[in-house]
Amino acid sequence: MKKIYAKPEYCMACRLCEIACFVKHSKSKKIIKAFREERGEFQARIIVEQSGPVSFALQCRHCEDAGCIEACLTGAMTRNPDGAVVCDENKCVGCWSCIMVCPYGVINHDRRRKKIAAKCDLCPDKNTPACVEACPNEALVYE
Amino acid sequence: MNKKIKNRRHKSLKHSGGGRIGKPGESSVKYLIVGAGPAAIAAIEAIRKRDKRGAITIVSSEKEVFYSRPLISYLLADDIGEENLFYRGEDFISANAPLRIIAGAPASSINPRDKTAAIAYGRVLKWEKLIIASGGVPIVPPAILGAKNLRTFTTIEDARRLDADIKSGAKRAVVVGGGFIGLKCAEALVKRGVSVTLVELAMHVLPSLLDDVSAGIFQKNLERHGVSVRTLSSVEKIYDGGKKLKLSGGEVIETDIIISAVGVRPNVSFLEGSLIRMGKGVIVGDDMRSSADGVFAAGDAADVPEFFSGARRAVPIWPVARQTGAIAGENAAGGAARAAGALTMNSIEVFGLAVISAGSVNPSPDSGTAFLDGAAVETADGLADLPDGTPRYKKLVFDGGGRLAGFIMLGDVERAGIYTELIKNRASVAAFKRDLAGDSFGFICVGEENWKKRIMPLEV
Repeated sequence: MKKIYAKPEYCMACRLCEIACFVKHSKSKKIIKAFREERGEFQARIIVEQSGPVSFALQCRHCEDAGCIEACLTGAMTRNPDGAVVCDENKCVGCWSCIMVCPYGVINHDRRRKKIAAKCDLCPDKNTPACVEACPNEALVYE
Repeated sequence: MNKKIKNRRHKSLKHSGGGRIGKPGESSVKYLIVGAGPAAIAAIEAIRKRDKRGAITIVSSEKEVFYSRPLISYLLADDIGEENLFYRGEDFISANAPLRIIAGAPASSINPRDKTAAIAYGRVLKWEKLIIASGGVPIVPPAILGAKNLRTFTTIEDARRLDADIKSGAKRAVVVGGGFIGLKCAEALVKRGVSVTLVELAMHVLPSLLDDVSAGIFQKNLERHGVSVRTLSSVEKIYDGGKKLKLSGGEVIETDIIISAVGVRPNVSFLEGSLIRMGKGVIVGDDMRSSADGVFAAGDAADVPEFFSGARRAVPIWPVARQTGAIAGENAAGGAARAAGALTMNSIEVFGLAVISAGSVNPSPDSGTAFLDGAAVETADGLADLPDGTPRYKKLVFDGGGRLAGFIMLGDVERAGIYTELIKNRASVAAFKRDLAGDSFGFICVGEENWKKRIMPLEV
């Protein structure tokens, strides 16, 4: 299974990956509209981590031993046939058990429809995830 | 709860009471599992990873199987319909065949020497491996026992009954117990227009999850949404068959229904006389084996090795049920899996205020767990409220070895799992305590040697 990896030595902490992820998961898919109308309702599913001069972008690692799947009270969090860990937004009730156990802290809230857990879905309708595409310095790779 | 509940019962996962066992001679199974909750489901899935053919039979006291009990509060509140209660889809039974379900028929006794189980209606099943995943049953304090309007809140039937109460005019409820179940029940009742008084014996609600500061904030939020909270209180006496009750402080409350939510105990009464070694539940090792050959236990019915001390005790939370169920299943099918100690953790949101806590949150020098070499408690409370006015509180507890031993996050719970993982790893975090406690802590705080291998491409 292909995953997104980070190369901290190339990351400039420009956060364009966060913006690309936010726009990709917005309703309008348009940067200004998404910013105006949906900001605060949900967040990017990628986080730029920064400590002094070091930075990298982090999103769901699609763990082989995924604690979020086990902690989920509803069965919403599952592994799809490709191996990606995905959250069924219709089943999720927002109990945040996945947030309680995710060792990377990369599951957050999405309040747009009802309160549910949101995480990286590897952009299933794209060949290359939006964050990887947006990175101007190849600090994110999909391989 | 609307008509969804009556009309849209989950078809393939509902079974008629005391389902058939089959023809004589077929009543012998390789795996018998008592229970149909998360531990049982995890056990089935783990068995099937190793053994595609061995016959599995599930015995459940309930008519509905493979549903998620914690979701009944969402059902009662009308947030979800009954079809959303099921943890596994309709293909679960066929995907795990041969899997037989005997629903609505509780196990009545177990004989580990003959390897047989008696179930309701006088049937006897022979098994090769037995997994006890029978969950818990609600505790009812003696003072309210016998009340005509007494309810519990554990099963789908309990939710249906409260729904019927509300539909037939119940307007006032007393919820006895301010733990997870009590609070989610109170929230659902308020959403349905019932006025609720919550009675908690301890100093504050959620006594095992919160400290007094976070509980104070939590309680204020409950009261703001109309719940009358009575702490350091219990019901002393009931009158009029439960229509009126007197609290320990002397206050008399009139009510339509009383809900007992003081906790659950392992559902193991059917094991009396089996000679299986018992504490409060079935005592198991980290391989989920009981004292009897071929008998395993998991989930709320088991006393499992606890994370800090290794002592056997019930850790009745969902992730532990899943984990121990999987270990029991794998080992029943010939594996040699071992579980890490069970760490207490909880996530709950009531009236829009979320809290996640794990590990030791109210450390005392004599707790005998994480604090043998002297407790060092550091808190980062008094964080500013979130922009939308949601209160926020965070507390980290470190032990004498500089290791994270517990935490509470209230209001803003995002990234809580980073802390949970640090507790599980038992590594010293003394060097980056300050970063961890800070407002913008992140995965990068766990140290370069830890994050490097998890995020970077593998060098070829």
